[in-house]
Amino acid sequence: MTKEEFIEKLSDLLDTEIDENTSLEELEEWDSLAMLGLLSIYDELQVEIDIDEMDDFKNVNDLLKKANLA
Amino acid sequence: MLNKYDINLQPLKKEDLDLIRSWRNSDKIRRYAKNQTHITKKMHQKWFENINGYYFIIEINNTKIGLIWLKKIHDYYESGFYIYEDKYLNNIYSYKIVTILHKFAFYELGLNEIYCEILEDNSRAIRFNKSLGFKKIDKIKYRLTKKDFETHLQQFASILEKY
Repeated sequence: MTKEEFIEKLSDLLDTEIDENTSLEELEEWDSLAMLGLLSIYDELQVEIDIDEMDDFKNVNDLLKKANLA
Repeated sequence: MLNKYDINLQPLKKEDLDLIRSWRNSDKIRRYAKNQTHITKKMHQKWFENINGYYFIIEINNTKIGLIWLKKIHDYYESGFYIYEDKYLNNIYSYKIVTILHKFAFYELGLNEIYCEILEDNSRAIRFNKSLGFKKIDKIKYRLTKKDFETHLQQFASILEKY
């Protein structure tokens, strides 16, 4: 998966336009459903993640870094 | 007690009443409640004595974090829950918690459908409940059938088990 594909997938999941600088804290759509979808994407990418790590994600770039796509 | 993942749902006891009344009267919980009046100790005691259905304290890592219920109304059950502790909001704990309750409803109580009510301005709760399979049937009323529950659960069951 490329960086662009990751962002597109996340954008579909959130049902809103985003880019790598989008702040997660300011997104109304950044909720439990989004978290669940994100875990599915990481699972697909075989990225190991601890659920508590998700509290540290501040923007889309943090998500990309975790997926080794930044 | 219902127990799965890392979550316990403990039947509500009299000694929990002060705690849940303080949660229920907090601004962050009350703003999305259908009845937004301040609940007095006397009102709360009366409510507890007349409970019809199943109410559970949600416990994670030995900490009480919220309340979940299946309330009997006439011939059907209405589900609902709230999480008071911010740490457990907006992450997959919500899915784990309601999945435990819904499995209890459909597989232990043998129900074929349950209902819930969500205020129109609670967009996150609407989005969340739709992702679980609830379908809108009225202005604030939603229905979840056993079949829709199972269909939707299939989509994220493995994620809930893994994390």
